[in-house]
Formats: sequence, structure tokens, C-alpha cells
Amino acid sequence: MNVAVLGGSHGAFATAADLALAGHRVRLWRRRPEDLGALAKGITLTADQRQGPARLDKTTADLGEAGGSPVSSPRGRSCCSAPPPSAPS
Amino acid sequence: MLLGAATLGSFVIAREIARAGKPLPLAVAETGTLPYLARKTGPAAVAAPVRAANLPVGVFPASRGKEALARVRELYAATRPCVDAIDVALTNVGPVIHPPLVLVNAGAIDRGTFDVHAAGTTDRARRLIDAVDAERVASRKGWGFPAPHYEMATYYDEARAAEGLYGAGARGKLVASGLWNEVLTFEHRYVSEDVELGLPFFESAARSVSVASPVTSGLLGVFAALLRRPLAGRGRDLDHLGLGELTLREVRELFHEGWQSALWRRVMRP
Repeated sequence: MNVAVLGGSHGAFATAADLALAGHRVRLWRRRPEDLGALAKGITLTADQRQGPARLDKTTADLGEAGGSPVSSPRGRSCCSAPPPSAPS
Repeated sequence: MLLGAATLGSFVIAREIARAGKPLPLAVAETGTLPYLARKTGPAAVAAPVRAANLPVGVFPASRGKEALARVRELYAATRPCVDAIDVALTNVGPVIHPPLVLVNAGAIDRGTFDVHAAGTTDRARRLIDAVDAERVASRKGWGFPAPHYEMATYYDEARAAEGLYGAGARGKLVASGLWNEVLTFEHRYVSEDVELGLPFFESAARSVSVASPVTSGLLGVFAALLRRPLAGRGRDLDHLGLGELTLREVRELFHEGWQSALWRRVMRP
């Protein structure tokens, strides 16, 4: 599935990495472009079961670019104050 | 669209999309609890020692539940369907566990790094947690929502862990990680979300079905004093969300039909 994770909270990182490791195509949106640099090589998840370095399909500060099926970061604030991508499901 | 542990966020965000004149999605789903208990450990690293073993998911509108839940299940096999968004919001244990832990440990929190889930979870803290949870469960029964109610005791009692949100050994894994030994403040989401949004919802949900909620109300009163601002009747209180003029039957209809309901126009008013 094409998934857009909106936000950069603890839960957003876990969601993005875990769903990417599960084989979904994950795009991560963060509000501030300066927060994207550290994520160029993806996110490393340490967890029970599925874990390891996860490559993200894209990181972006442009909601339109995020697309996909939005999964807001658990507890993420960005989900509720910013307009969602135009083609959610 | 899927929101993590949102306390009626599905309704709130759908209404905001509609008010903005933007196209609504198929549906907005929300989970009752967090899919992961996680903490970032670096700029591009995160640890999630615990995953939800039973992940309640409710859909707004509930009439779109079948199709939406099929999508959510592709992401989370632990998905457990709820009746609607109110049902799932009443499985959110954040407002059950965090306000009591923050309150009874306020002194330690004010002094700096502290793990409310380890040293902060004393027998007396548990009493307060259990009291809030009993009100939540009574409220769920008042609304007629079916079991499981994911009682908080399932998190603390290993013998019942399999029926809980996080499964066997969850609390042990969380505490052993040491990641929750952290600096909490009264700006932390345990307060800004679970106290300020969650408890008013619990209080109003109980009131709607004539269930007493003295402990929930008491927590709201005490936190209002700690934060020096009023809390009750705000946040995600059902009246504050604009649902106060609806009968219980109408609320249920609204959450089933969503923006296709004749009632939608009434709750769209600012």
C-alpha cells in the first residue's frame, strides 16, 4: 500500500519504519524542511519482531507530495492542524 | 485516513475538512490505543519495545467501516473492529493511566527525570487508575458498547495480558527498556492530550448515559488548579464538540452516517 505518515513524533517514526519494513511504500511528511535531512537514509527501528533499517519512499515537507493513504503519527499534532493530502483513503 | 489514538479525532478532522470545503476521504479511522509504545532514540532512530496486540479501530462514519477496516487490516493485523468512533474512543486508556500517574507523581516530575511507569506506579497510583478505568468501563456499558472493554487491569495482571491491548509481558518490556525514564512536564501530551482532551470526553460520555464519574471529574478539577485554567466542558467534551443539542440516538446516527447524515449540517455550524 502507498502510505503517507504525517508528522515526526515518536509514533510517526515507529509507524513509518515499521510499515516500510513490512513492505509498504511509505512517504513521511514533516512540517519543517530542515527536519528532513537526518532522514535521508531512512529510519532504524529497534523492536520485537520486525526491526532494522527502513528505507522510506520519500520524505517531504510538501503535503501534496506526501500523497498516499495518510496515517497520522500516533499523537502527532500535525495531522489535525494541517490539511491532509488531497487523495486520502 | 487513520489517526492514532485520537479521542474522536476522526469526527473532528472530518468536520474540519468539510468546513474547509475540501474533499472528504472514504472514511477517517482512529485507533483506540497507540499501535506502538515508542520513543525516538536518535535523529533517525526509534525504539518500539511494545506493539499493540489488540488494536481497537473505529471508523467515522461507521457505515464505511467494512471497507475502511479492510484497509487498516492491511497495515495492522491486530485490528479489532469497534462499533463506531465513540466506541473506540472509549477504549483509549491514555486518559485512564496518564492523568493519575502524572498527578500522584507531580513532585517527582517537577524535580526532573522520572519513570512514572516504573517507580511511579505504586499500589496507590493503581487505585486511582483503576477508579478512572471503572468509570470508563461503566460508561462503555451505559452506551451499550460490547466487550472487550480492555480493562486497564489487563496491562498490570499478566494472567489477563492476552486479552489486553498490548499482550503478554508488555509492561515488563516497557520498563526494562528504560526509555520512559524521562523528563515529563505539564506540557507533555500526557497532560495536553490525555488530561485536556481525553478526560472531558470521558466525563461527558459518562454524563450522556447517566453514569457517575466522580473520579474523572475530580481529576479534571485538580488538573485545572495545577494548570490554572478551566478544563471541564472543554477539549473533546461532547457538548463542546457541538453535539450537546443532539439526543443520544441522534449522536449514534451521526457517527454511523457521518457527513451523509441529515444531522451533519447541524454539527457543521462553528
